Amino acid sequence: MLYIDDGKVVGIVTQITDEAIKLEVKIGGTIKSFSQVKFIQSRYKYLPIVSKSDLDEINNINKMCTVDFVGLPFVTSQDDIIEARTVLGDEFKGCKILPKVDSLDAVQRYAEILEEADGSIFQRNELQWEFHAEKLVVA
Amino acid sequence: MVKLFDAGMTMARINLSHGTAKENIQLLNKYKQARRLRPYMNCALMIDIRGREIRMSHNDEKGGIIRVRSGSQVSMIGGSFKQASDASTFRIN
Repeated sequence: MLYIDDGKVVGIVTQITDEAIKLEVKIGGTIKSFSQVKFIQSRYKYLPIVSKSDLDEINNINKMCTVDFVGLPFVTSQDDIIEARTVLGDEFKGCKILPKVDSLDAVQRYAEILEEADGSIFQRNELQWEFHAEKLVVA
Repeated sequence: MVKLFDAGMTMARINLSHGTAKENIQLLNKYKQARRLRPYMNCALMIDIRGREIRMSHNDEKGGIIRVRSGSQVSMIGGSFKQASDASTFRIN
């Protein structure tokens, strides 16, 4: 099951092929450009923490204006932050990295992540999909 | 942006997930201009990268909104983020 644009559209995956996945829309609605697609309780660690397009874009920005902080979404472990630092390279040496806590893995390994990071951001709007309301407060 | 500086903004956050690279650069230019106009003020710049976030591409529909009906069949294609999505095909990064 997946949620598009914060649950405005809900779909169920019916078929998976090499090129695409087929969905059956369970709850219809409207979708804006650049809406987020949320797969509940997904394991994000297999995706690259900083994609190539991100790297190009952030390098361009850094040339124009010095970046002080970088927000990293869907961090799952300490290794992700180390990897991000390596990928960003020397140009971002003075830049602080703030991982966003927005997945189940990040909450479970929060202490470990905090050791490596310069701070953290709790994204409760993302965590609402992973926890019930009463557990969200505890998290 | 200058008004935000005057109101006491200490950090500007630009999320790369929303908007295109061109739009983000335009936003950054405004920030740079405001910094130039208020050189005595400190305001940090924070960039939120897209990273592992899965997002749909832009759409060319009227008003920038796709309407999807319940029960309809849709295919979702990865790796074609630069092409526009429509009601039967969702393109994701």
